[in-house]
Amino acid sequence: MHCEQIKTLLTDYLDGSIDQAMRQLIDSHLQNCAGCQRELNALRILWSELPQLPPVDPPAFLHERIMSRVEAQQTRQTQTQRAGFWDWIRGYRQAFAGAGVMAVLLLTLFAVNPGNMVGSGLFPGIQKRDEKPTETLGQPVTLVWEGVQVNWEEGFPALVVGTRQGVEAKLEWSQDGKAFQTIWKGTLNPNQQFEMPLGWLRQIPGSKVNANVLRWTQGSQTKVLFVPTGFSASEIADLRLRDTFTNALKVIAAQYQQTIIWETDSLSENPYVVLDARNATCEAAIEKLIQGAFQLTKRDGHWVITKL
Amino acid sequence: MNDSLYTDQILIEKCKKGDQEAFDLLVRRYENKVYQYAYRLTQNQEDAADVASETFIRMYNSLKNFRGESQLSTWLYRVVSNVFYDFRKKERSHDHLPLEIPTDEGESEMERPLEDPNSVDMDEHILKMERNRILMNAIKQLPEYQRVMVVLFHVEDRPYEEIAQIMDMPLGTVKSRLNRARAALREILEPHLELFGLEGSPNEQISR
Repeated sequence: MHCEQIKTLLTDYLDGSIDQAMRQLIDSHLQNCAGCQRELNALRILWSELPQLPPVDPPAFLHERIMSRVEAQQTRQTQTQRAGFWDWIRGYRQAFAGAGVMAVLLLTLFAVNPGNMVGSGLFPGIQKRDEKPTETLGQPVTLVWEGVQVNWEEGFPALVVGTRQGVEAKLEWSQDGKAFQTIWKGTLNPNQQFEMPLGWLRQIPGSKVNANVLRWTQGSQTKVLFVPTGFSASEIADLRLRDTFTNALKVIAAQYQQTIIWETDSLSENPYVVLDARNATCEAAIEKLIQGAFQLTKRDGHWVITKL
Repeated sequence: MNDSLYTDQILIEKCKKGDQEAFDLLVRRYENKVYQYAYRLTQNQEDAADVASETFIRMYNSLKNFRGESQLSTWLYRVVSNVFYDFRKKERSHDHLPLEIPTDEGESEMERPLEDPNSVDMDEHILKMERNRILMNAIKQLPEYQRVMVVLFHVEDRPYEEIAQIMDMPLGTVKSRLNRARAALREILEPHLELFGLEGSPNEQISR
């Protein structure tokens, strides 16, 4: 066989789609032909090097961008039927203020509204109720924060944190947003999962639980998990959120078929909101979410959230 | 969270009934994969994120017609490829910045850091980075169809049969076109073969 014929068969030779007889023929040619051998080695690079290109990390904004664009597209589709329903989204992107703002905001908000917190000594699990929680957590949710994956398990309420890389980390809890108690501190090894039951975060019958703050520190970065609960039993029906503030508002808007307009610029997507307000009124649900840090008014039939 | 409790098909059925959380889960399940592939094609973070976003918009709009005859991942590969073609077409019809803005440092910045820098030979690491850069650049010089095929087969490790499904082509056509793409890529790599441990071309050796 000539070199030209051999060269046309080299890719089949490399991906194994050639019969044994032909393979032997090519092998014997290659032993005596430096040119074809070199050609084979050059092509082999595609098989040996390309699969090893290092994986790229998606940017932190990826999920947010995808979801907001899908929603924007939905909005365009439904606008003619329900004009104004998604109006509040307009401020959404501008409201995408710098990270960390909400962490400060949350702590402030607990300072101004320190009452009605969970009874002291609640953690860790001392007063955890034995019975199965009456509420379900709905669909499972996964958040990924710069390499830390936080899972909210359905059926087993727990915060599950796993990392892709070893990292120094700390989980703290606070009743009032001021004094933090360290729950766990240490090094998370890659693929290790750290679980913390959240049963103790639930409302204790007869008490008025407004909120708890969980603070997760990874390296130099701190994230706040904001967990407001505590609607009275009569208010509880069918609103369960575990999400960012904007998404939580979005669900309220959809749930109550209300337009909510967000007129502040201090909204961050960082905090993880857990709002469990079933059968609450729309107003109560929003109030619970903004926790007195913003003003809620009704204007032209819309709910408007403004700075205090 | 155990989103693995739900198969794609179950999540798709939930989406069809308007379950937003199911859609969110599907996005989370596939966004990384979609982004990786989009990045290999566009070689630019912003464009890859845009291609990924558009892919999921199309997924959202088409889920009601998805019958599960092919794997969702296969179908997503097809959508990403099509979105990529559309982006390139749009880019050519407008006189603006190219879809991929060449960046010298971009690729190395995107790479995941070494877990233990002491455990590897740094020279070898630098050489590897350079080889990766050359490979990515070479892929970028291929026409779109060839780029898609090369990335699907050699980077994403998709078998011929699946590529045939993704590209809606007979198996034989996939193989012959992929061979042309490989030949083109190999030509582009010719000046850099030394870096991959191959000596100069036979012609050069003769002339010496």
